[in-house]
Amino acid sequence: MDARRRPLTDEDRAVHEWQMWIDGFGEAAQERLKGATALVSRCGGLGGPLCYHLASAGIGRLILAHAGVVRPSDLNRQILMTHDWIGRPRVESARRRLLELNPRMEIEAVAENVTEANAAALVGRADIVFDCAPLFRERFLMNRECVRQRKPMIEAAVFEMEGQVTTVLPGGTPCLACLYPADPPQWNRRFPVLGAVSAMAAAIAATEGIKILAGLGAGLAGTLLHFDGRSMTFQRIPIARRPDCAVCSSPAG
Amino acid sequence: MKITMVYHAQIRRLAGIAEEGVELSDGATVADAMRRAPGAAAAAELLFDAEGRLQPVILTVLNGVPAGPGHALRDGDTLALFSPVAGG
Ligand SMILES: [Zn+2]
Repeated sequence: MDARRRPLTDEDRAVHEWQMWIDGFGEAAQERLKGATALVSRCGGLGGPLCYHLASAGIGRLILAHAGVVRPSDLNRQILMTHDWIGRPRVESARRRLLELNPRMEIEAVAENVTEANAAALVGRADIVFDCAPLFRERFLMNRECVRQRKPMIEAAVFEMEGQVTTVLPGGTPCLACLYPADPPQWNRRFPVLGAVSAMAAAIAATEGIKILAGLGAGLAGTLLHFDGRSMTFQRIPIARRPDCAVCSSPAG
Repeated sequence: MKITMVYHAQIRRLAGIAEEGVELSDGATVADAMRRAPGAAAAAELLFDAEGRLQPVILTVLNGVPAGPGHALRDGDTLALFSPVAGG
């Protein structure tokens, strides 16, 4: 990823100084972040706070994919949406809020969810993918494209007071289809959720992705980190590749 | 023997409890526990298909490590069941 390093300006250094003090970070990691492009599939309760942390950390370019307009029921968790934006496109609200925080970054706002038609092109323009969609159909599409194009993918999901995150490194770790080898029959698009719990999962996913882009390595490769916000219990569950995985066990995977 | 069942996500909601102790006969397997525990039985629609086979998307974690339905249980084990989640 060193080929994508972009030199820092004095303003970059002034903003990101405190994180460059982290062991192993420094100016080189900041230049890698600045040179990186991340695709975030849906910038709602999970993808929204995740984007905010990528923006504050100084990622160079974000591709946001999210359809629809802001609704009142978004506002308990989708912190890039605001009350005054109800009825207007979500992705434009997200762009506006992110640029308020970091006007130095580039944002490509795509007012579509991930589909068969756009998945390959969206993933092709990114160095890393954050999978935050509420439907397995979209998640499996992202997984398939990331494995095919060998792009790292951070898989994050929440339900009620629980959340989970894992890192898919194609060619090395299990993929989403290893974890869920069939379409989950009983998953509903509408699910109970507290915004702060979404934000917990988002912060874990952002931390993991920033480390990968900055060259600090992954902590959740082959591991599903699950947390329960009721008991505040965290556990690391080792997960394995399925030898018969329909997505990653082919010679190309 | 006695084991502890732990329920997560949609399974927890159908079970109505987060965990419970279950008495099982010696030699019982992960699948046996899932059929006998009252909480798991209440969530059977998530755990099993129409033919009674375990749904492959259910993650069964024994003492912190994934274990298949045929895995034999021992006294004091903790078996956690996770349903797939995709909430964004
Ligand atoms: Zn796989």
